[in-house]
Amino acid sequence: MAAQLRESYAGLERKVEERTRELAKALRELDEKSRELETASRHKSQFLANMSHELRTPLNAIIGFTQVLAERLYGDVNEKQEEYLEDILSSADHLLALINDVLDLSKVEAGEVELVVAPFSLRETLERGVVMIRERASHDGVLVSLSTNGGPDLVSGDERRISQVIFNLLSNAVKFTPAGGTVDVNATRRDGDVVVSVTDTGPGIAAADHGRIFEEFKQTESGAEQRDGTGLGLALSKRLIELHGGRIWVESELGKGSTFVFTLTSEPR
Amino acid sequence: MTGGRILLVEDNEKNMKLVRDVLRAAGYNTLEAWTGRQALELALGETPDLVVMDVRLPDIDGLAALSRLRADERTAAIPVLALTAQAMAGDRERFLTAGFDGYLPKPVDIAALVDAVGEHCR
Repeated sequence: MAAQLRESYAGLERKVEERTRELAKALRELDEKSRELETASRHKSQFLANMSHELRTPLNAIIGFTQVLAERLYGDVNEKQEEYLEDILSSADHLLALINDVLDLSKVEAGEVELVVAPFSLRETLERGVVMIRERASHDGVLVSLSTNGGPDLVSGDERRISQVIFNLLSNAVKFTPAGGTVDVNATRRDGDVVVSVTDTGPGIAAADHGRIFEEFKQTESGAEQRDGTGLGLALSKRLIELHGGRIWVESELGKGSTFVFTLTSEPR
Repeated sequence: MTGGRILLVEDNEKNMKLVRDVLRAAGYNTLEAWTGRQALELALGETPDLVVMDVRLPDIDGLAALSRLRADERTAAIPVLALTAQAMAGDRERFLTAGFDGYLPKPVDIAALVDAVGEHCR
């Protein structure tokens, strides 16, 4: 009996040792894989960053010479030619916006974006965003309002990056809201988090699209129809908010407008 | 305001043509250097009123060229604008801190180019 027990105990020990070895090996492999993935991701991002730099050089000639012609520095152009020059310029601007977003995204992915975290006035940042978008909004017949009554003012974060997110949400909201509609910006404090929301009276977003619109180049059908978006704005906004330790999501139903919400915790990671 | 002599430093043929044509149309005279070393030679020999300099150049880069211009009393006072495709966040601050008198990211707006040149070349 005692001999049997000793034997099965020894068997158990062997098994435990064996399992431990297997686990250690699996861990080492996992570690190696994760390092490989990290390197691959760094290479990819470095490639994108270089690419973006190299794309600017020919774009400089394209935009520059087009401006020279449009400004009539070397003689007159007719109406049709002017129209084409404007088309080249707006396409080149779109390309530039894409390059900028791809670069930004690649830097976030490579972990190269270091947040410059400091306390700043959320109210002032929201006001600046609203001022920046108002011209386009009033041109499109959309009313933009801001309410921060009793809401938070000083928050901690990278103001430039948060401004970028706010401007992205505002320009999306204005872009998708038909004339006569409204865009409401709100900031409140909830359970210690700061909650910023941008509500529009646009076409709304089907539940099936709520997750995928935050992925790269995944636009809704109406988003793709607009053609002036890069398909990267929300993906970038999501990364930037998550870098701050916050969350971003959309609440929407088709035909009922959309509300984009993000939170900022008081202590960014 | 016009009539000043501007040294253009640029290794890309089309971008050189663009800056040359825009500034000539605005009434300036232009000199051309295609490398950093050529830029130093011409700056010394011709003492232009302003240098408009690309940063990524085949031999010595724009930052090194700038510091050599500043280190030589004959060229130290010539204003130098950076005209560069290095246009990531933080680049403007980096180039201005390095001592460039102005920073124009590519793709450049030609009106902004003419304005910046006019500001430093009167």
